Amino acid sequence: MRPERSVIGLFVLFLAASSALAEQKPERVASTHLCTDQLLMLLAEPRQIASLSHFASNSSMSMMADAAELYPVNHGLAEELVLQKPDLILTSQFGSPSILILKSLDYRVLSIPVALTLDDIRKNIMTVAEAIGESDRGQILVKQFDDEINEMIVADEVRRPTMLIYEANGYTTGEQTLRSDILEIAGFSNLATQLGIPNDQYLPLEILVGQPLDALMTASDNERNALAYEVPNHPALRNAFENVPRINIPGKMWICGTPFVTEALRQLVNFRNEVLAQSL
Amino acid sequence: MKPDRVIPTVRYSSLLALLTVLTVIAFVCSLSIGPAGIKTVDMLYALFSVEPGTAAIIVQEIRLPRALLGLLIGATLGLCGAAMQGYVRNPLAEPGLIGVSASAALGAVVTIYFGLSAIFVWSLPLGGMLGAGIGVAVMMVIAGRKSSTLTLILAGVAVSTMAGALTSLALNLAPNPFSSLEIVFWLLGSLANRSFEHFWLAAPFMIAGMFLVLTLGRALDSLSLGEDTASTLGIDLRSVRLKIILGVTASVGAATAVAGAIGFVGLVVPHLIRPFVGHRPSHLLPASALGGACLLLFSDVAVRILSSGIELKLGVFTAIIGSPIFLWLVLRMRNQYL
Repeated sequence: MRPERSVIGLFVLFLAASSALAEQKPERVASTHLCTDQLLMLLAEPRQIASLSHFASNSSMSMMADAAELYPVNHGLAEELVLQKPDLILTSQFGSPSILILKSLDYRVLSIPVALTLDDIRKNIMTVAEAIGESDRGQILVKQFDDEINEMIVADEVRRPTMLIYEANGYTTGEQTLRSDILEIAGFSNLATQLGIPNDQYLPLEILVGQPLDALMTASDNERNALAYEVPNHPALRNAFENVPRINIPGKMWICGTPFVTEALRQLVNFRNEVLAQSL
Repeated sequence: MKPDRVIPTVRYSSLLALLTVLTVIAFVCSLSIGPAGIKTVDMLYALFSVEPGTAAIIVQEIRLPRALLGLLIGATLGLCGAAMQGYVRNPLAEPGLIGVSASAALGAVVTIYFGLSAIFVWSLPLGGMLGAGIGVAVMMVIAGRKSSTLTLILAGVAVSTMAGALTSLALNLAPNPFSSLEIVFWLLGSLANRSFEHFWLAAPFMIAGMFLVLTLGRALDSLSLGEDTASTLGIDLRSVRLKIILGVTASVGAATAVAGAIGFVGLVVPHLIRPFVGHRPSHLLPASALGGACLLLFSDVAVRILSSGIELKLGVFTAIIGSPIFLWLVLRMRNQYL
């Protein structure tokens, strides 16, 4: 019985210690994921930020690349994170293996789930805000976020143009994804959801060219420097949907569940109005 | 002697006829099979339809370029394998094994991932050919005409490994999130989602290269009797050498630039066909081209049937067929020489 009791005792001690830590406002927060990088920059005081992932300053992926230049960088490696002496490490649910090492070294790690809906974004904002002791800023940010969305509420709910996201390597975005949720909120019907495609999945060109589409989203024409982009640029796709309006929304606007998705939503709502006007 | 001379000729023409029929069947299969189930009859109708319907788009713009590329690339690899084996008189000479395909892939990778081919489309086949040319040149310098099988293969391993490593390095350095994942395409090859854009970029060079190599039949026949005999028969060895280099460089370089490095076709096909053509290079060349086309088209149909979703790479299938034959050749040679 004895060893077990001492294990339980240790565990209680650990719980007490960690809850005591949680009450303190962390002074050095490190983030190892592009999405938590941006939430952290939006919510924290600059002096609180110990480091951001190297993706944060990549302007093709991050909406806050310029702001991120001001902070130290990490590459998700355990060694460099230890040297940065963080008292809180933010990561995503798909964190790197180094996170396991850091957890075993008793670093406080907070793993933020991937946002699949606009509601998840609100939750994630508040989770990060509370963890870094900035609940008030979190509430203000959520309020701004909601206000921006409410301004764009779609009036004509009945007519939902069918749309498909068709991207690098022939991947489409279906059920249970943030981007599909945003498409639906913008007043589109996602063909991938109609076809019952879950998550991000490969859709053969041959299947796609026979589908009825009112609108299409693909990689932009100037992104060609990888084979991956040759699928959405295939001539068969151009010919099959010659007169179908197209839009390209930069991935960085909505790959992460941050308040910046409202910009993607705004572009989609405007695009939907164009599509409906054209079909009249 | 007389019956011996007659029978191979009859056999040869019927062999060519058989291979042609098989290639036509493979070509039709390639046009008939895909994720959108289209019946062969509807497929044929769609193939010649001038109206822009869904079936016509699928057949004319997705499946036709793929089948045509399979035909030409298979022919290129089979032909070049046969020609190189005849020229260096070494049964293991083949674009894939000696590193020509790998270096062509490196050339193509550099042009795609660093934006060159987006500015100037022809840089893609040119890059592939530059890479292939370097591979062929290295092979000729290191292995030469009188090299042992071992030297040739070791040189090939060195060139392939080096080109593969540099390809991997280039893809890792490329400023694109997808590039490092695409190493698989360059190492194993695929015809999935290739369009007429790729066909027109590669076809002129493949056809020109194959034409050059096909003219070498008689020269290679003479060479099989030895260099000195060939010279006395009036064969200009330097011109043969130049034509082999140019032909293999142009056709394998362009083929690899649009479909990645597809291995073993050039090894397997000539070996399967050689017993039927009486070991005469002039007969082996056209038959190997047909055989290569046939094998690659059937392999490309097989990867479509075997995999749902993201397709298997072609090289997976050709290696499964090819490596047992490679091993068998190694065993046979061990028995001969050791």
